[in-house]
Amino acid sequence: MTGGSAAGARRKPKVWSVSMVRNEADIVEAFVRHNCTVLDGMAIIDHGSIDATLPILTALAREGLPVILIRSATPGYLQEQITTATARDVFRQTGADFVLPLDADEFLKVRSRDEFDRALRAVPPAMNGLLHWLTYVPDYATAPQGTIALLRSARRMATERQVFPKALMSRYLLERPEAMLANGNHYVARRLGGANDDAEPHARIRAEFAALAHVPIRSAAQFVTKVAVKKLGRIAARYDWKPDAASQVAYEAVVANRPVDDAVLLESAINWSVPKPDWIAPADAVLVDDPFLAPITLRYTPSAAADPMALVLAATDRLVQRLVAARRSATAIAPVP
Amino acid sequence: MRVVGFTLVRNEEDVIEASIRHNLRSLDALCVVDHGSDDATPEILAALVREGLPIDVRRDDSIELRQGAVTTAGARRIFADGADLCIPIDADEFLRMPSRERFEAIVSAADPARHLVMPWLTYLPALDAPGDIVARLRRARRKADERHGLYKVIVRRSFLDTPDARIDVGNHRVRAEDATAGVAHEALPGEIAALAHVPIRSVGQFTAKIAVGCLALRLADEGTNGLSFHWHEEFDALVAGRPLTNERLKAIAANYSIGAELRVDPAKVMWSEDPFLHDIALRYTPSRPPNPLARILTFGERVAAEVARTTGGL
Repeated sequence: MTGGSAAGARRKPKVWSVSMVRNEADIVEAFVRHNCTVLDGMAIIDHGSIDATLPILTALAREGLPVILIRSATPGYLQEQITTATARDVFRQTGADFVLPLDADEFLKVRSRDEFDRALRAVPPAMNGLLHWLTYVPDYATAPQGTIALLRSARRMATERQVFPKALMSRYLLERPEAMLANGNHYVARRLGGANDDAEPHARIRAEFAALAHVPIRSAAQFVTKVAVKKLGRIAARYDWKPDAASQVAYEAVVANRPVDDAVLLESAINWSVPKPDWIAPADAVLVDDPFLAPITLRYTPSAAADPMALVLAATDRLVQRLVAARRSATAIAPVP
Repeated sequence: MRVVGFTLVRNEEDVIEASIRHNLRSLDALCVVDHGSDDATPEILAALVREGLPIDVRRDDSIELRQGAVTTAGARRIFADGADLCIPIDADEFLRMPSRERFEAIVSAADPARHLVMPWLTYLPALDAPGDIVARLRRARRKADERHGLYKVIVRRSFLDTPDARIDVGNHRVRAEDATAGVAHEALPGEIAALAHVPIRSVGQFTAKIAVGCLALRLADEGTNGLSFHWHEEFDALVAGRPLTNERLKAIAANYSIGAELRVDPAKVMWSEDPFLHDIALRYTPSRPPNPLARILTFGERVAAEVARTTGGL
C-alpha cells in the first residue's frame, strides 16, 4: 500500500464500530468489553431484543464504556441500510477515521493498538479496509462454566474454509453517498445490492495486524435461536438461504427435531459459512491455539442462553404484527371502485 | 334424520384419528376442513378416506384463523347436501351420545324453530401415563363441577332459511347478523348428547396449539376473539420464557375457558371418572411426541412469505 492514507501519516486513527444486535444476551457483554479494549467507541443498534440484551447494553453504557446505544423498531431485515446509515452518522458525529461493522459474535483480534493503527494508516485515502475473518470453535464441554470460559476455550481453524473477509469502512464513505455495506458486511458495495466484483476499492489488512475472531456457535439454545429467527427474517426480506447453505442445513435439522448435541455444534461450527457439499468431518478439522480474548470479566451476562421457543415465538409474533399492519395500510389506501 | 359433523382442524396429529373414529359411531358423515396442517394430519385424513370412512376432506390454506366464517360456510354446504343437523366438532372433542335413536327422538320432539345446544365437558387425560393417546384418553377424568357455563351448538337445517346467521367463534351458538338480536336455542340434557372436550393432552401438543392458534387469531385481525383469552395468556407466558409443564397444564385445565374473575384454586377442582371413549383402535397416529418448535417455524415461514409478498421484502 503506497501513497497517502485514510487516517493521515502521523495522527492516531480514531476507530469506532457499528453493530446491529438482537437477542444476543449470552455474548453481548463479552463482545462490548472486549472490543472496547481496542476501539475508541461502539455504536450499537438494538433491533428489538426481547432477551436481556438491552438491559445489559444499558448497564454497560451506564458504567461509562464508550457505547452509543440506539434502539430501532424498524421492521424488516434492512441490516445493510441501517448499519451503513448509522456508520455515516458515526463518521459525522465522532470524527472517526474508520468504522468497523461488527456482529455480536465478532471480536477484534489485534496484537496491539499501535500495530492496528499502523495498519490503518497504510490504508490509502480513497479505499476501505478488508479484515480476515477467522472462525473459532469453542470446546462445548466448557459451556457450563460460562461465556468467558467458553470463549477462552475457542480455537481457530488452522486453515480457513470459508472465503469471506469483513469490511472496514473508511471516512471515504462520506464521499460516496450511494455506497452501502453488502449483506454480511463482507465488503462495501457501490450501491445497495451491488456486486462484489464491482465493489468500492478495498485494501486488505494482514491478519497479524488485525482480524476478526468469529464465534458463531456457542450453545444449542443460541444455535437454534440463531438459525430459526434468521431464517424467518430472510424469508420476509426475500433473501432466503440457498439450499446447500450451512445455515439452511442447520435450520432443517431444527425443524426435523434432530437433537442438537455437542457433536452437532462442533460439526456446524467447523463448517460454518461453508456450503454443505464441501463440509468436512470434525476429525479432519485442524484447530490451533490462537487466543483472542482480552482480559475481561462479566457482570451482567445470564448463566444460560434464553429459551429458543420464547425468542422464535416473539419473532413470529413480530412478523404477524407486521403483516397485519401492512394489510391495514394496503386497505387504507385501496382505490375506491 | 341425517346428522353430519363438521371439523376444522390444524396440526392435531395426536388426536384426529381417535376423534374421527369415535365421532363416526354417532354421526352419518363428517366434513373435515384441514386448515393448513403441516404435521401428519393430512396423511392421517387421507388414510382414513382410503379406508372408506364417510368423511369429506377439504383443504383451506389461508394462514389466519377465521373459525366462525369457515364453520358457517361448512355448515351451509352440509345442509345443501341434504343434512338435517350439523354438529361442529373440534378435533379434540368427542361426542357422548349413548343412543342415536333417543337423540333423534328428543330432537324431533323439540321446537323445530330453535337450534340446539349440548353440554360441553372438560376432560383431563392422564398426562404422565404410558401408552398411546387412546390409553391416555381412556384414563381421562371429567371436571366434576363445570363452571364455564358454555354449551356447544347443534345446528338445524333451518339455518339455510337465515342466510345472514352465523355460527360463532367456538361453536357455542348460532348468532344473527345483528348481534343484538337473540337467537333462541334449546338445551339437550347431557345424557342425550354432550361433547367431551380434551384440549390439553401433552406439553408439546398444547404449546403448539396455543402458539400457532394464537398467532393465527392475531393474523385474522378481528379484535377480541370470544373465549380465546386463555390462549393469549399462555402465549404471553411462553414469550416471557415460562414454558409449560404438566403441573401448569393441570392448572390450565382446571380453569379452562373460565374468565379470570371466576377461576378457583386448581387444587380444589375435583375430577371424576366418567369414561367417554368408544372402543376404537388407531392405525395411523404417529407415536412420536409433538414438535412445537417445528409447528411454529413452519407457520412462521408462511407468515414471512406473506410479509415478503405484501411488503416487497422491505
